[in-house]
Parts: sequence; C-alpha cells; structure tokens
Amino acid sequence: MTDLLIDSNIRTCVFLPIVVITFLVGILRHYVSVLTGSTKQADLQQVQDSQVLIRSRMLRENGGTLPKSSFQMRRHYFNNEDSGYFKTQKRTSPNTNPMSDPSVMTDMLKGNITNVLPMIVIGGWINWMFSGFVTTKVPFPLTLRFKPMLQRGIELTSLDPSWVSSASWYFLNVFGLRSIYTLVLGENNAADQSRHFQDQMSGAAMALPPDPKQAFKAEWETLEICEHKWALQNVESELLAMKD
Amino acid sequence: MHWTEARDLVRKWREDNVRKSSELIEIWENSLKDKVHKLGDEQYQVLEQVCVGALDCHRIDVAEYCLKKLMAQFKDSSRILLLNAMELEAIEMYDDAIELLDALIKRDATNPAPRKRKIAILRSQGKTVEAIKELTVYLKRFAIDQEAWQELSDLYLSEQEYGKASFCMEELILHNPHNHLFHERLAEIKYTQGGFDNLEQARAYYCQALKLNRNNMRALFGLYLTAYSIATSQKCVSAKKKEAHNLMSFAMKRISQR
Amino acid sequence: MASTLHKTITTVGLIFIFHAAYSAAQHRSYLRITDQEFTSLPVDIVVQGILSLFLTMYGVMYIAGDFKEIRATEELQSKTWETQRNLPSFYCFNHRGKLLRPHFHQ
Repeated sequence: MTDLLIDSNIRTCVFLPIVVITFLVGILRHYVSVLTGSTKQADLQQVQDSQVLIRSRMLRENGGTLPKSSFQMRRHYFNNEDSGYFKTQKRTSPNTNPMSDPSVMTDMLKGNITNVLPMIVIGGWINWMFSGFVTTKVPFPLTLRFKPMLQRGIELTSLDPSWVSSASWYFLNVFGLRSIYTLVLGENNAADQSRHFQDQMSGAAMALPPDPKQAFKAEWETLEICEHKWALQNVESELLAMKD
Repeated sequence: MHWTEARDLVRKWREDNVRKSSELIEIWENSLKDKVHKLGDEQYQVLEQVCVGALDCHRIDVAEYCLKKLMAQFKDSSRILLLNAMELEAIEMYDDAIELLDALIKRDATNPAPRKRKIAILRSQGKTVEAIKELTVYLKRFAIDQEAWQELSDLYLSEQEYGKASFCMEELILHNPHNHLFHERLAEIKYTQGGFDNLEQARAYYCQALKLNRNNMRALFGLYLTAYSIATSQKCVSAKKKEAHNLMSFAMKRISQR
Repeated sequence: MASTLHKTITTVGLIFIFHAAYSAAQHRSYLRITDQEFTSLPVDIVVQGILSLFLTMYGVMYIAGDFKEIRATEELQSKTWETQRNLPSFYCFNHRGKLLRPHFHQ
C-alpha cells in the first residue's frame, strides 16, 4: 500500500485544536471540581480507628527498636483476649447502602457533573465538529483488532490500523493528558495554601478504613504473629567497629 | 535586611520549627511589616507565625495587628479563631479562651488543635496533673500525634515519673526509628532512672543514637557516664566490664577529637 | 542554586533541540518533494539533536535543585534537640517573656 499523505491543514485545524481543547477543558474541570467539591468530614470515631491502626502498624514495623518488655506491653494493649483494644472495641460494619445517605448522593452527583457530563458533551461536540478526519499515525504497526479503537468514525477496511481518526485522537488525549495535568497543576494541588486557612488543616486528612471491623481483625492477626527481634542486640560492638 | 532575605529566614525558621520569637518580631518590624503584601499566599503563614511569636514576647499590639489582617481575609476560619484563643490565653483570660476552644471543638470534633490548646492552658495554669490526665484522654483518641506524645513525656518528667516518660519516648521512637534525638532522649531518661537493667538499656540507646549521628556530643558524654556506671556496678560481670571500658575509651577518644 | 548560566544553558539546549526537530521535518519534506526514498537523517542533524539533549539535561540538573542524601539519617543529623523539643501546638505564653518584655529593644 502506498503511503498516505495528509493535508497539512488537518494538522492546524483538527489535530492541534483537539489537543488544546481537551487540555483546557481538563484544567477547567479541575477548577470546577475545586469550587464545588466539599471536603469529606470524618467523625471522631473514624479518626480514632485509623490512628490506632497506624499505631499498631508502626509497632509491627519498628517494634524491634524497643526492648522486649515494652513491645509485649504494647501488644498486650492491642491484642489481649479480655482487655485488648482490637478485641473489646466493637465496631459495626458501615452502612452498605449509599442511597440512604443524602450527603453521599450529592457527592456522587457532583462527581458526575464534573467528570462524566463534560466528557459526553465535549466528546459529542468533537465528534460532530471534527468527524471523519484521519489525523495522525502511530509510529508502530498494529493489528486489525485496533481498528475500532483507533479509527472510530472512519469505516475504511483497507486503511492501515496505525492511522488514528479524530474522534479516537480525542479519547487518546483525554486519557493521555492526565499526567500532564499533574505536572501543570501539581500533585493534588486542589488545596493551595490560602484554602488551607479556610478549612481546618489536619486530622481528618488521612485515609480512613472503610470497614473498621474487618481492619481490626486483620490487624489483630498480623500483630499476633509478629515476632519481636531486639534490633539493638549488638549495637555496642557495631558502634565500636564503625569507621570514622 | 532586604525583605526577600527576611522572608527566606522566616520561612526557614517556620519549616525548622525554631522558636526565636524576639528576633522574629525584630525582623518583622524592621523589614517585613511594610512588605508583607508582596509575599503572595505566603503572607498568611508569615502573619500567623509572627502573631504566635508576638504572643510569645507579650507584644499584644503586634499580635492584634496580625490577627486583624488575617481576620479581614478569612472570616470565621477555625485556624484564625485558634490564634484568637491563644491571644486570650496570653493576656490570661483563660475562661474566655476555653469557651472559644470548646466552641471550636464542637464545630469540628476531629480537629486536634483546639484540644491541644486546652491542655496547654492547663499547663500554663500550673495544673500539671490535670494536663497529664487530659493528655492521656486526648492520646486515646489521637493515638499517633507525635507532638502530644512528646509533650506528655515532658509533663511526666516534670512530675518525675520516669517510667511513664520513657514509655512516651518509646512511642516516638516507634514513629521515628531514624531520629537520633529520640534515642538519645530515651537513653537519658533510662540513665536518670538508674538500676542496672535501665543502665544497660541506656547504653544500647546511646549507642544507637551515636550510630545514627556520630557527632552527637551529648550522646557521647552520656555513653561515657553510662559505661562508667556499668563498669563500677557490683552486678557487672567481668566480660561486660571489658566492653564497658571499651565503650568508655571510644567515647573519650571521640570527645577529645572534637 | 539555579544560576543564570544554567538557565541560559537549558534555554539554548531547548532551542537547539527544536531546531534539530525542525531540520528533520524540513529534510523529510524536501525528500518528499524531490521524490527520494527516506533512508536516514543526515549526520549533522542527529549529532545536533543528541548534543543539545545532553546540554539540556546538564542545565536542568542544576535548575531542578540540590540532590538529596539517600540515607534517611543524613537529613536528621543536622537536627538539634533545640528545634526537636519545640512543640508549636503546646506553646505556653505564661512565662518570663511577659516580664522581660520592657528589656527587648524595640
């Protein structure tokens, strides 16, 4: 098959506009979600649970730096059959039906409005506006299976699968630009400094276990089989052997 | 001092957690006060820092100024209200401060800062025992708050409860196994506590602190003293005596090298 | 840290990279017009591309900031107890500062 030559006007009028549009829409969407997004409010019980879990994990990981008696005292506090924290604290499994909680509903709706809706609207618009162009070519050969993915909107059986149609180019951009966003907007930069002052800053920010009952049980098991190894056993001789 | 230099210095102090309040106020009044709007978003952090520093030096006028500026920008933010409570604290209107802090806790129960301030108020009032009690209750809720563990250790030390203070220090070591300062501190507490077993542990932690940072002079002196106590102890067997002497000469050599 | 020299080096490197890319595109279109088969790029464009890439990398390395020590303890070594024991959320204001205040030069 002879090489396909593409009109350079396609580059300026289709290829680049799609990139720019998807990029700008992404930025816009980011700021809309910053404006409408509500910070998740955790309740005190959840904060306590997550902190206790972290503390227990720290004990497992760095317990070797403590003397054996200190380690066992802490494990007793968490794991004792009668009085241990993980045994006595009864947590109910969280509500499984999100529909019953109106705040979850509004959050979902907001997520839909900022994420799905622009995808559909802009995607539809791009499809209508720039449909039926062959825009670019991926620099490697592909099998026929890729044709529906890369050549949406163009039904040409004889066209080499490595050519990309305009609609597919839009989708490639939507997914491919994600890392560019983090580069431009910064990692999780939704909250800049001045926003920090508006909200309270710490405490609820950490990840909360979705189901404390399960998490407690798992943590109890791992802590139970965790063995104590006194890491400072030979520290004196190691120190003496250290070179200046 | 040019305002960019002042900004960098103040930023360094803020990040390193340095409490040089009177110097901070001096810099503020001489070079930063008129240029604060040039700092962009950083100005609010600087204002907060200066406000706390001003309260530290009892310069209520400066604190008021900063607070007013912050208030104008962020009405009704819990962080600003917290500063407000600190000001009330500094002019010893403790009841009003506690009232404000209670309101803050009610507004957001997961915010640890106002709870900590309440404990600090108890400490400024000299009620150490109550402060300890409150802090243990607080730590049941916020079990990984390192500042709180450290404060609790300090409070226990002021009550001469060395065993409990060393428990808090161990908790800090669990969270920062690479920080030589906590190892050194725990060793000091153990050494103060005395007894042969505690001395042995103190020696191990001093060694660990020195392993993490070979230039820790305080740990060198501590190691020397601990090894000396061990070597002269009656419970010490001869093999251990030799090791203790080795450690003593090691510490001595390092100290004299500096 | 990021001196003007290194910034200039990076800018120059980037300009050269773009120039190399542009030359490559020109070369391709020239071949197409004159109906020749494309085999490989001329050596000077390749050399320019690679050299300018290294130039940019050198400049960026100095702009991006200092390298960090790989050992975790290295950073903590410079810490002192003076700052470590300082707990901002537990500051007490009921101390000598109040009485010493008149002696602070203002």
